[in-house]
Amino acid sequence: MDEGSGAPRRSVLDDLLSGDQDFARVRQAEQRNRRRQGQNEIDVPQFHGRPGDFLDATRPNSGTYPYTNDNGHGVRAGADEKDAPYSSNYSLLTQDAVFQPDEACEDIASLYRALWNEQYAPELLPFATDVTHDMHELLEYQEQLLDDELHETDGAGQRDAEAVSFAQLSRLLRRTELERLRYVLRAYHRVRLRKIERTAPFLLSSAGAHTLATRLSEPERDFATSYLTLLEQHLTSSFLQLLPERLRALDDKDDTVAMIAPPHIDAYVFCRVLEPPPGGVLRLNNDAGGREEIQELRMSTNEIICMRYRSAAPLVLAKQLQLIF
Amino acid sequence: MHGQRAFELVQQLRMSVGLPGYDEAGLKEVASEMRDLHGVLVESMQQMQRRVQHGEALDEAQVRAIQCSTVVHLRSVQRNKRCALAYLVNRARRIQMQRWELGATAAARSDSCMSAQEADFLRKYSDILGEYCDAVQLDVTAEIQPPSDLLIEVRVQEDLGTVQTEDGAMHLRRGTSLYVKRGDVEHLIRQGSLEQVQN
Repeated sequence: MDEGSGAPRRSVLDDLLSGDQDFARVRQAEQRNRRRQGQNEIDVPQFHGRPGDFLDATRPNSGTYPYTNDNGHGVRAGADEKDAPYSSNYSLLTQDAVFQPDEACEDIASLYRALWNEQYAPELLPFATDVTHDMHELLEYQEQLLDDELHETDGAGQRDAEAVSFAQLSRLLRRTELERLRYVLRAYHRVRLRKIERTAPFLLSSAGAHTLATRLSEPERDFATSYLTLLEQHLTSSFLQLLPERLRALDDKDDTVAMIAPPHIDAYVFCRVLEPPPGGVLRLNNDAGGREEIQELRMSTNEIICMRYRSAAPLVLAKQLQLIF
Repeated sequence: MHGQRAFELVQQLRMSVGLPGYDEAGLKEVASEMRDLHGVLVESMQQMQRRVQHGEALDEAQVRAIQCSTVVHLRSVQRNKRCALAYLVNRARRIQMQRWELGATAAARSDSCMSAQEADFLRKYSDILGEYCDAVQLDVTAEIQPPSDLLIEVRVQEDLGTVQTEDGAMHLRRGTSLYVKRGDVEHLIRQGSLEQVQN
């Protein structure tokens, strides 16, 4: 993958095993290893994993949702096995990582939770400053590791051919993994930007001032302001300037439809219970049709519930509920 | 009928995908209809005021008639405005979508369907997106689809010479196909210089 970017028509296999390796030799090595360890199945990490699979070296057997591996175990760390690159315990994560593996795993999980909540909540949620910052650092750091390793192998010259080809495979997997995580991070920013675009008039009105001040990051506030200015300029120069002065306002509020709509927080959402409220019962205050009505809702962990966003919002913010649809 | 032309504008968008041609004449007609309606409205209000000032007594039927006409005209003006703005805002959203999906250069190519103001809007929108990306140190517009593979096969559609990437040089000669990192060539695919080979 590294030196052959320009070569025409190469298969994945060619790239994985470039150099003087061929597939048969790798298979032989695998079999040798298998015999040496006296086991039938080789626990080589699957390529089609979920994001984060290759970046966390130790994974709890009952990993937090949604990171549980199908078979309950992922890539395990094994510091003393460096000479047996195909063994089941070979770690894809360098041992001296600054980030503790479980910490990185927790960041990835939080990023996912933030993305899903944001995607399905009808209003803007607070910007996940810590998570995005940590993810950014994690990605930069891993990128740096990969680059360093690449230069190391370049300088090493003739080394054990098997180790070289394994290093290439490992780098390919990790780089793919990085790309996927970077995608998730981008998706998070994108979902928020799209929401900000849709709700910009509300956010910058007096009713949305609180949301704007507390829930948006600095760059997002700038984006919201310049976007709304841009849109208003566009509407004015395309159409509104043709109208009499009194009809040009963009914040009319007549008795049928207001031009600035607040987010629809009475929408229904689906959520998964991460942590049930004390006693397992949530008391809902439904003001249906003007009369107050207290309703009790039983919740247990991992249950899926459909409820009004208005009632779910405090629990979502407290990370007790996870929006899922 | 009041508001007919404005409704047609909205209908145009509803019945099309992508970005249909810009209906400048339509918007101008709507605006002139609104000016006329607004004129009538103002006129009738002023008339009413004059009559009240002159101490003229109005019977109930006359008052009703004036109220009715006022409401109808006002609502027509409002409806026209809503339709015209809906037309513009929805077009703006489609333009934004093109910016996200195709990238700045390719989106600007379809400016035959845009008005001068819309082309300007697209340019400035790209600018503020760029500012946001700089601020968060992440190109949020890259790769809209989740990446399945790191490397993809592409066919070169135009001669672009040699492009340097972090892994070395890439020779882009028309008609050849390459196996390269997605991130390195994504902008070229969006521009249409390369085509991704689906397997």
